[in-house]
Order: sequence, then C-alpha cells, then structure tokens
Amino acid sequence: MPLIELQAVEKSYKMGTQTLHVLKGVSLAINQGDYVAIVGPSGSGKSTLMHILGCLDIPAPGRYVLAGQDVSKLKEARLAPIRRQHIGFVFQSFNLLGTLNAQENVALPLLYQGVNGRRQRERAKDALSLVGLGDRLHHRPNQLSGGQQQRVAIARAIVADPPVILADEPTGNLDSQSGQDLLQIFSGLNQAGRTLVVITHDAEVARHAKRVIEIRDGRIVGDREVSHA
Amino acid sequence: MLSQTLKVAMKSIWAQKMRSLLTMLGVIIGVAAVIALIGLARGASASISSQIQGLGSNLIVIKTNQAPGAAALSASSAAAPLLPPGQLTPNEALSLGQVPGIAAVAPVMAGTATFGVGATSSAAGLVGTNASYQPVMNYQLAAGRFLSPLDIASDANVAVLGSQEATTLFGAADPVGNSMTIDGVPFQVIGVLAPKGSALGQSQDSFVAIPWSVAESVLGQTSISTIYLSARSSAAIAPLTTRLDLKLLTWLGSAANFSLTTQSQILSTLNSITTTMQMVLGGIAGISLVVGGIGIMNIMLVSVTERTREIGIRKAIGASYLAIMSQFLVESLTLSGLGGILGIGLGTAISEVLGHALGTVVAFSPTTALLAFAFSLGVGLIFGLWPASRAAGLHPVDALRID
Repeated sequence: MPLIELQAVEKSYKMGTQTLHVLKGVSLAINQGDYVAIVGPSGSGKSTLMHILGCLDIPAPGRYVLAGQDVSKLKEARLAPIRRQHIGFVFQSFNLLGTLNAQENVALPLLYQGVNGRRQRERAKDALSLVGLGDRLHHRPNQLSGGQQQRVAIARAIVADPPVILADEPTGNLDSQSGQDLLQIFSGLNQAGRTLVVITHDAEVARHAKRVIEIRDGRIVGDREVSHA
Repeated sequence: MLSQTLKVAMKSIWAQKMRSLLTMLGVIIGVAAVIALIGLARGASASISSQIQGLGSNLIVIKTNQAPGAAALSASSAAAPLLPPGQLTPNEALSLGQVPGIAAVAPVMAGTATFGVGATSSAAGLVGTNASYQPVMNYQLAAGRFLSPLDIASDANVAVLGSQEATTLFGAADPVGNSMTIDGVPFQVIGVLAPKGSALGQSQDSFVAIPWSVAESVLGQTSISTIYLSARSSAAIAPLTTRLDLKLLTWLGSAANFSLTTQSQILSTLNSITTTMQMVLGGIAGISLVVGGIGIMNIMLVSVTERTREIGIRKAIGASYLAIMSQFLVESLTLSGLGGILGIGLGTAISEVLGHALGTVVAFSPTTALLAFAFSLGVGLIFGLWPASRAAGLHPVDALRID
C-alpha cells in the first residue's frame, strides 16, 4: 500500500464571479522511502498540490489517503493532529519564529505533541546536530545565515519523526552552495529511510530525486524515475 | 504544556514592553480605583460604626417630642404634678427599669445653663440624670466619681464635668473637690469624665451632669426629654422595643409624641447607606476595569493580525485549534492578571496616601483585592476570547500566505 495516494483530486477557487480550476484531476501514489520532486512552472498548481499533500487543505472533489487513512473529508480541527503525526514541513522562506532560538523552534512540533520540556530540548538538540547545527542551539533566526535557517527548518521537520517530509521550494531563497548542502542533507535523510516530497522548479533539486513528477495547468504531464548512475 | 504556554505569553508580552504596559494601564487604573475607593468607603463606614457603638452598649433611646417648658409651671404650682399628654415624669421614666430585659435606665432632663468658676463662665448643656447615665452612655471617669443614688436621694448639689467643660472652666487645674456655680447656685465638683470625642459631628464632652432631682429646680421643669436605656443583651433589644412601644403609647397617647431608636437601627441604617456607597463607588471603578478590558481586546486583535503568519506556521507544524486558542487566551489573561497585580499595588499605595492626606482610616480589604484581581482576570478572559478564537480559527493556508 502506498504511503500517499491521490485519486482524481481537483481544487478550485472562487475569484469573484469566476471559478479558477487549479487542480484538474490529479492522481498519484508515493511509496514509503521514495524521494519525489514535483516540478512545474509557477501557476501550474504545485503549491495547491503541496497544501493538499500537507493536509493544510482538502481536495474537492477527490480522494486523499495518507498512511491508510482517508483524510479528504476531514475538518481543519481533525487535520491538525494528522499534520502533527505524519508531515514535516520545509518552506521556501524557512518560516522560523523570530522570537524563539533554534532549539525552541525545532522543539515546537514536540510541544504540540505534548512531549515534556526536557525530552523536547534533548530531541531538538539531536535533530540540530543531525543537520550540523549542534553548536547553534541558542541562536535566534536573525543570527543565522539563510542556509543555517533552512537547516533549522529541516531539523524542525524531522524532530517528531514524521513519515513524510514535505518541502516547498526549499532552495528558493538559498545561494547555490547552501542549496548543495541542503540537497546533501535531503539525500542523507532519504537514505535513512525517510519519504521526501519536494516541490520545486529547480532542475538541480529534481536531479537529486529518485522520481520526478511534472505538473502543468493542474494536470500531471510527466512521471519518470531518475537514474543515479 | 501550560507552563510553556505561559512562557510563550510572557515572551511576547516582553517583546512589546511599552505596548503591553499601555495595554495593562486600563486594568491597572481600574483595579487601583476599585481598591482605593472601596478602601475609602470602608474606612469611613468603619469609623462611623465605631462612633455609633461608642455611644453605649445595647443602647435604646426614647425621646419625647413636646417642649418641656409649659409643664414646669403647672407642675410646680399644683400639688399633684399633672403633665399634659406627651410628657414623661422622672418616676415614669425610672419605672421602665422594671420592664424585663432592661439593664439600666438613665432619664435625662436636658437644658442649657451658665456655669461659673470664679471669673470664668460658660454656657453649655446641663444634664439632669442618675447614676446609670455613666454605664449606659459608656463614659469613663478621668477623676473623682460619678453621681451616686445617694446624691439623687439627698438632692445633693454635686456636679460631674464633661472633659471639655472641665478644661473650659478649670484649665489645667484638677476640678475635683472645687466648687462652681450653675445658674448662680453653688455646686461641688465630684468627678470629671474621660473624653469620648464626637459622634456624628456632635461633641460628647461639653456638658455638666447633676442629679435629676436637683435639675428639676435648676431648670424649672419636671419632665424628662430623653431616656437612655441599656438592654441586658443585644438579643433582648428586639422584643424590648415592642414592650416599650406599648408602654409609651399608653403614657403618651400617640406614637407621634415620642421616638424610640435602638443602636442597631442606627447602625443598620448607616450600614445600608455605606454599603450602597461602596457598591456605587465599586461600580464606577468596575466600569473603568471593563474599559481596560476593551483595551486589551483591541490590542489582542491587533496582535492576532500582526502574528497571522506565526499562527499559520504553528498550525502547519501541528498546533490544534485549542493550542492556538489557549496561547492567545493565556496572553490576554497574563496581561490582565499582571495589570491586576500592579493595580492592587497602586491602589494600596493610593489608599495609604489618601488616608494620610485626608486623615481618615482607609481600610485595605484582602477580599476586595482578591475580588478585583479575579474580576480583572475575568475581564482578560472575556475580552480575550474573541481575539483568541479568531486566531485559532484562521485557516493555515490563508495564514501562511500573509507576509
């Protein structure tokens, strides 16, 4: 059974009197341990797809089964615990909280899982060490470089050990060296068995993935395995 | 979880120190006003109550409403004293002592007289009464002794001075054993009362007491204007008033001719006045607390708007509706609670300063402080609910889109 399964997912938004069809029937399946890049030009619907994959939004109509559970009809109140258990997010603009230091930022998902304070700090420290920031625990986001901030965000995404890591343009705000470092980390995470779904228009990112899904005008137009010779 | 939520709240309050302080100011002023105003009102009511209680213990006061002058002539000229209706004789007054439940009776013939010592003279109140007057009216002796039953029986020309009158007539000298004149008649001073201060604006130390049997001739009247009675216990007062009322009705003919007042009546009247005063003052101060709460709500709404992205991030990471709700609620509760604590401090300080400035007692009441604190927390809760539910209800996708 695939970890992620979308069946004929559609999504449309009302813009005044017009209805904008963003997703026009997307079906895909992603297995555990996969490393998938979803590519496409801006306006192709990949951000909307990422919201649905991340359980931030629900398809209408269509079906989304995540880890064996149909989440396509759930209300926001029920989606929050699903996100908490299954998804780790990495955003283009990092989305760290400026008032918290690196360790506190990373500990946030654990806080919402009800993990006690001491365990939170330990696990946050471990996750930061894993991305090479074990010596930056008490730095605020504004005291870190862009690449370091994105690594903090990755630590936050993996700290609660979710089955899926979902990244939205993770290299979009990084210089090429930081981008390379980040892709190294992603590859490492995937080798350790984590499922990665990266939404990007960066060809370099797509090259690192095992599988590339191409989306255009709300439809999947390509789906291929990438050979790593 | 809660301690972490509290930490987060403190952090975001601290991050906006000036704004937080200004937001709290409404609550601070509200709570301080409640504490100071209620403190003042309670202080005033306590001092009035203690004045009333100082009048005597378990006191019942009967006053006749007829002017005594006219009766005096007929009484002294006729063989059998026959008073017109509406007046009481000393013997009638004293017979009230047999009413069960009465501990002591002090009839008073009151008038004014001119007192003289050598070249010094002064006009003041003359009280013709008996030995019971001192205990019933709760007077202490400063020197000498009070009137005795023997003084009454023997029509002795002896006088006991109120403390203020003693100073007026004798200055610093000890009056006991000295002689004085009352409307030209020589008297011997046998005692001086300890000062009692004033009650309801009237001095209780500016008079001279002499045996009522002697006052009859000095004042030229035989009727009693006031009777002070003390009941055996405070519980006995209520049934006593009915019995006394009946007796006075048969003697005086009409309820219009006398008034019967108990200390507890005066106290309860005053208490109801001061309670109303406290409620009015507390209510006015409470309004400012509510206004403070609206200030908190305003800032919390601004804060929710400013932190929309933060809310989106927290939700994406897995924060539930309740987690966001409690974060913002705890923040507004912390604001109002801190405001409440600072307000209690400020209010207590204002009470102290006001107490010194006005020379009155300001009673700090822990109950009021606790109530004001609880009320400010309630204000924080109620006015925090809307902003918090707005924050918690944000859709994560919309919230994340905001920059």
